[in-house]
Amino acid sequence: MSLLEMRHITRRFDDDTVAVDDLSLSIQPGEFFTLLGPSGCGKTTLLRMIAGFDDPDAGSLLLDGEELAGVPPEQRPVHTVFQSYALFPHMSVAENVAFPLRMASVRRAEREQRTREALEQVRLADFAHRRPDQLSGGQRQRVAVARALVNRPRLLLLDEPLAALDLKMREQMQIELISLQMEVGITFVYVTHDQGEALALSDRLAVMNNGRVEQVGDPSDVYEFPDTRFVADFIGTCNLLDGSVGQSETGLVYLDVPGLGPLGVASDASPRTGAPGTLAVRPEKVRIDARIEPATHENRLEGTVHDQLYLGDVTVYRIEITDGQLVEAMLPNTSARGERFFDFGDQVQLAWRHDAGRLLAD
Amino acid sequence: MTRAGSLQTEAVKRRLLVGLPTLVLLVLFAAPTLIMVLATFQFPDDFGGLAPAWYSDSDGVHLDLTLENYERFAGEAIYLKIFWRSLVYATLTTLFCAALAYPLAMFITRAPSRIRDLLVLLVILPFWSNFLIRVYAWMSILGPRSLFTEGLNGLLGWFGLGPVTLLFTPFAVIVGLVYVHLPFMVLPLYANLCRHDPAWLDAARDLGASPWKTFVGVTLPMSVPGLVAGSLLVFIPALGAFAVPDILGGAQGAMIGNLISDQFLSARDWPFGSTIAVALTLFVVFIAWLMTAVARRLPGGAAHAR
Ligand SMILES: Nc1ncnc2c1ncn2[C@@H]1O[C@H](COP(=O)(O)OP(=O)(O)OP(=O)(O)O)[C@@H](O)[C@H]1O
Ligand SMILES: [Mg+2]
Repeated sequence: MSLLEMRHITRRFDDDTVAVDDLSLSIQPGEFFTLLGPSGCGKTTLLRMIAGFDDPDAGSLLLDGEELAGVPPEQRPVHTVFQSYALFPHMSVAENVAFPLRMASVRRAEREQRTREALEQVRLADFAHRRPDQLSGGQRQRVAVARALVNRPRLLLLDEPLAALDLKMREQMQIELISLQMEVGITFVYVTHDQGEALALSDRLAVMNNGRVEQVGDPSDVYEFPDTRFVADFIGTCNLLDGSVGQSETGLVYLDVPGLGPLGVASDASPRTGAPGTLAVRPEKVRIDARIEPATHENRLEGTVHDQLYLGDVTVYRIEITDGQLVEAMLPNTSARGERFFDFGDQVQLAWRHDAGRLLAD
Repeated sequence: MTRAGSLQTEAVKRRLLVGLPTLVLLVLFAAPTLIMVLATFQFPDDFGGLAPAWYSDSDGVHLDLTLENYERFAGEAIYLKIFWRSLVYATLTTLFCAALAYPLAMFITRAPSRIRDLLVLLVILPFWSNFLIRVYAWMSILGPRSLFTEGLNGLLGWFGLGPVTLLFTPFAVIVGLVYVHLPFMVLPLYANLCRHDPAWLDAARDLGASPWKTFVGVTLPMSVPGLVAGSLLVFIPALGAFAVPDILGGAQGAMIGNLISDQFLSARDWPFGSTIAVALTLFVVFIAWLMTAVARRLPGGAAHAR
């Protein structure tokens, strides 16, 4: 049985804003689940409904199979790490962490013991007597996590907990969160608009847009096999080539893309000939060379280097195939001295396998 | 202008900025206080005012000072009794103000932002009309023939309880004091409460605190500085009040303020009036020190900030 079941949840604000729109998801026990989506797509609204601060206008939430409607936040075995951390400024670090235990009337000796353990878990044992305003951002964040975990909730909600940290700190905290989650075995529901974070942290993730779920799956599934144009575009970068369905054979569809000709793409679907379609292919799947031998199961195009973006570890080349139609290809910078392989205006050839692309219906 | 020159004018400006208010305080506050303290050792003049502090004769200059006023103040039970009564009235006033202001300040804080400023304006609106008129208004509200009093007595009679007199009782004095001082409690409390992060409340509820425990464990301790500021702003003027007890308290309701004004206006004994005033000032300073010292140690207090 899934731990948390969201069924057709809808939440409207002032009639015209639909923050969460007929959303259904189920979260399995013990998993690190991420809600990923752009700003304003309804992530926080959904989280607040799970925590009990807000009620859905329609639909139901079930935790361990039991309806959550009408259960006040303090009685839900769900704790939250807030984006602003919301530490209590008048309490020391240890008092903050002990707060949920105090509210649950845990005896003093056990309370102190568990508080100490929780602080050790987040490597803050030496800071127990500090005030929150005497801590760095990363330390505060760890206090917030310790405080939310100390009373062993069934579910931990984290609303963009790393957004306020700098890049280095964020990467370090990501690693710590993963190992912490494995250690405590508590189900995490993590909210972020950072796709890199979502891919790195999650067991499974749901991509949200306009209050709806666009796709659910494990990170590589969602990255490699985006179901919709929005997902392909939002996670990483993706070449999106619009065309119409031409001939098709078993497992393979040819898409007629204006200016590029028919391009093969592996697909189990058998769309109607002439239906609109989009071919999505990630830049790192596209090979680029001065000459590429034609091969079966591959699409091959010719073009000129339009511009290039040197990113250190990789270079992104944008190749102009016909007037205005650009295809991006990414190449690792493997040369010993960092010379570029191609220059502006070079004639090059591109190729990618049929099964490296993805046919999007919408 | 050279860099050094501009630095110098900066320093001069800064000194003026600090110096002017200091000078004003010295002239308007410290000097009168010193004059008052000196007055407590002087003799009254025949028709009010102060007798000179020294006289000179053929032997030279003699100080003409006395400790009589302090002896009189400490020696007569009536003064201590009035002091005590004032303390009780001021304390009750502070407590009632806090009890009334807290929910009100919380209500304003949580009101939609559109009407919040309007509500604050309503709290200070009474200041726009004259203080004495407002107190006299209470006189007619609490008077024996008023709708309020007759309604109350009608209700009490229904339960077989005797009619009560409201005006010229301690009750009337405290009602008047609470009414007059309420805004001084509401405003600092509101200023404090609106700086509370709403996320604290969510976090407390989220971590298992009922609304009541959230209030006791988070909101209340964090509002201690506001409560202390409000209490000082209410307690100190309430302790020295004289118009309210004069108008609403009648003969039995006199407070220290009445005692002092009587000495100056009726008895024409300025030295003794000054003595009572000095005693009051010392007492107020002590109370203010005590309250801030206690507040510093409480959870939301300054000893814990920053
Ligand atoms: N209390 C509210 N009243 C009115 N509209 C609201 C309220 N809360 C959220 N909204 C609207 O609902 C939509 C979703 O908001 P939400 O805060 O859930 O987005 P989010 O995905 O968390 O965004 P972000 O990444 O910026 O935090 C937004 O359009 C927002 O303006
Ligand atoms: Mg949000």
